Amino acid sequence: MIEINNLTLNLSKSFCLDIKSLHIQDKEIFSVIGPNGAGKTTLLNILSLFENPETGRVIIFGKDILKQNDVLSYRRRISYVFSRPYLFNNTVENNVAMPLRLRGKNSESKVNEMLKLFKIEDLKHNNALKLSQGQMHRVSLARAFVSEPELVFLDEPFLSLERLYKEQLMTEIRKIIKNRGITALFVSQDQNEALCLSDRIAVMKEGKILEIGTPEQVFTSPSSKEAADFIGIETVAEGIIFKKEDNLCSVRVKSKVIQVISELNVNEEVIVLIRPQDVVVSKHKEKTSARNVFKAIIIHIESWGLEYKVRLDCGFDLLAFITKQSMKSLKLKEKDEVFISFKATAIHLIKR
Amino acid sequence: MLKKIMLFFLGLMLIAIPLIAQENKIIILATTTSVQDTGLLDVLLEKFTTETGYTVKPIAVGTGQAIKLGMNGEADILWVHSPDDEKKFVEEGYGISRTTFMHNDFVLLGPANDPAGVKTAKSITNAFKIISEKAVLFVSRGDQSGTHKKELKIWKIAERTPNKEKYVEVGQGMAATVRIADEKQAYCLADRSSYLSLKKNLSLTILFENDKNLLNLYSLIPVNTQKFSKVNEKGAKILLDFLLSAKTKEIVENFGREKYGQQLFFYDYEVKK
Amino acid sequence: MDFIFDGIKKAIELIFSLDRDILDILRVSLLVSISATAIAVLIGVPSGAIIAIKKFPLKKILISLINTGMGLPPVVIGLVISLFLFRNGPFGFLQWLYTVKGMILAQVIIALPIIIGLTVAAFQSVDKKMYLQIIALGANTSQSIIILLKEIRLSVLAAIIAGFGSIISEVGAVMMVGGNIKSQTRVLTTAIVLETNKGNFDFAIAIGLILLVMSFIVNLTLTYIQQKNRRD
Repeated sequence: MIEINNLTLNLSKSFCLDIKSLHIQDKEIFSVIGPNGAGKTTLLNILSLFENPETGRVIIFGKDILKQNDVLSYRRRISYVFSRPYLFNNTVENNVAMPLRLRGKNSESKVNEMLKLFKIEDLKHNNALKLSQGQMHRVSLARAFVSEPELVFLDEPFLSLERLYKEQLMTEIRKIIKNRGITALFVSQDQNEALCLSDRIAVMKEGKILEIGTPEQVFTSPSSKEAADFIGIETVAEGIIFKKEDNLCSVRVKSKVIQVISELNVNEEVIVLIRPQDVVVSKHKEKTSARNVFKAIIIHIESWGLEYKVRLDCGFDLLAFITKQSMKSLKLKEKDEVFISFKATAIHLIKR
Repeated sequence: MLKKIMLFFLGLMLIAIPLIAQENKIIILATTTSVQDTGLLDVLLEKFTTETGYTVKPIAVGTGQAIKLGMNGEADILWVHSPDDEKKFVEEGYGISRTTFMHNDFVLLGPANDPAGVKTAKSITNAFKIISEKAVLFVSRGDQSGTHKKELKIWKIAERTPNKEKYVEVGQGMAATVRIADEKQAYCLADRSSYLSLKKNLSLTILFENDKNLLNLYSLIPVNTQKFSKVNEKGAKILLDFLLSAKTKEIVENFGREKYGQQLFFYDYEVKK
Repeated sequence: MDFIFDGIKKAIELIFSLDRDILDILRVSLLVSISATAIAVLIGVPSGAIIAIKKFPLKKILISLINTGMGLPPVVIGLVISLFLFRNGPFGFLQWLYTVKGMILAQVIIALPIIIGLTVAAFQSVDKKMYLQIIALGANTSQSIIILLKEIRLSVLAAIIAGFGSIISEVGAVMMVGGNIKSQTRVLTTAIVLETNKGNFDFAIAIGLILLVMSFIVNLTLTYIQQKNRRD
């Protein structure tokens, strides 16, 4: 869907966007994450022709968009959601209908469908500027999808939302994008958002792309230290909650069952995040208060700053950090059999 | 809402167009403020327009400026009161003819207590001498108008120059000048008709009058079409004929009797019966 | 002091007796000021919008020229227009001098920089991203101007009010270009000058009152529209 090659743009002395190659598949949800000033928004601005790069080729819908004359009809095939919902001083209904009116094909049924999809039917006749932050974001998203775009750019659309609300909205959006077969390019500083939404992730810093891959690839085995520094390393695994007693959830990850404290509900698909520093490695099975104890095999040991990064297989891939002292006293080496444990509270679940 | 405002304005413009469109048979009459301020002009022109269908645009300025307008071909006919300038205007070929058709006179106005003591002067030149010697405040039109020219001429005959510190040149019309003199309790020269029309709001009184040098002659001069092709010769001729007719004579001789209790202008032209 | 109260008393009598001269003056005034405002708005608001939105060379210089134009002395504009409209001037063939058309022209030129300048400022006060968002929603240039206009209608109305205010209160240029001809080009402001000079204070006060009431009513209407929209 999108093919970017050798794209460069000097915005200031200290910042230069330089993307060698970035290909995004049809119907893919692709995230670009990176710190402030990484050039994420600049990238979206180039793709929506708000800014002109100095060199490069950007092929979208089978054409080099930088060389086409009909900017308007290109823009009418895409949607761009800004981090702040720029709504108009008018009713919610009229805000959502705007893109259709601009295209000269207003349709009440489409507008109503969107209002329903984003759960803002009841606000239909309210002034859009008098809504809560969350409601405004919903209006802004409904407005972006009403024109049935083939490609959607999302620039941190959840920036100012509360966590719970945000997660709910993200799940809905993922569903909508997938159901409608839309290609989406999502930009964020927040890796959890990216994990939750995307099929693939790119890590960007100082105008360059450091890393491209699936969430698992990027989070568990980043190829560059720079990328790892930004996102931090975490074990990422997919699972499903199959049992819940009080707040203690049992999550099946591959063949194992992990116990996690979470407010999510039974039967929800989740992404399990385990921070390597929370994982305890021991030679023998010991009595412990940790709810999760598994037998594991050491696959790989690698020096990681002041610590060692140990990759284990405990039924699923797991990362652990071990200090040099512990490494010495435990005399760990690859292919050793060990026990690992982590607390039920140390795990973070993200609803998918 | 914007659409409504636009429609509102468009509607108004549509109403406005026919009102603007009716300007065709136009005569530009360059005249003096004294003729306009008394209201005589309004009366005459209203009658003229109803009779002939011509629209007259009277531009009431000082005689000096009226003559300038004529010299640039920006007026069709002049109604002015500065004989020397008029003669020169015609001699130089700007005007076709000069017809002196009515007169009134100038009066010397001043504070009722007459601080300079000009009431007992033998002549107007004598009065001006006294004003210069006593160094009393004197307000001058200072605008090259007929009245201003007349004032300068009297200074010349009197062989005096006005006292610099006490001489105020206001550069305004007759009415404005008299009002300023009134506020400042100064002396000033004005035509009688302007004075009479302003009298009710004035504290100044006539301190000197009836002198041959105070005669105020009004003349009509159609502008020469040979020099300016754009001048409305026909219109000017029709207006001239109208102003030199018995009808005008009657209006002029009766003008002001009711309002001011006396005749303001004296008609001199011998109209053909 | 008496002449002030007498003046006001007489003025009210004059207004309510529907004096023909006053009605003529009022008619010409309304015709000139409203047509001039309308033309200035029709030209000024779209050009202000385009100047604010489009990128082009010398844009900053153009904007500062317009801002200078906002402070141009109307009398100078009157003088220049008179020179151009004189029979033997470059536009003499139009025969617009001493006519309502000429006065409207002068007023349009006086009000245009004000309306363009304030419109540019209003458009520039909009978040740049708002404009990008409108474009991103699929708007072409004219659609985006219309949408933005709706968003900043309050500021644009303020520009219109300011333009109308400068026109209705102007005296120098209309005096020169119009010639202050009775029933033809005499408007409220020039009539006030004339009648004050003549010492007809009652008449001057009457016209002054009408001028005040008129500009009050027009401004009240525009402000009402403005504030009503704000409440929505």
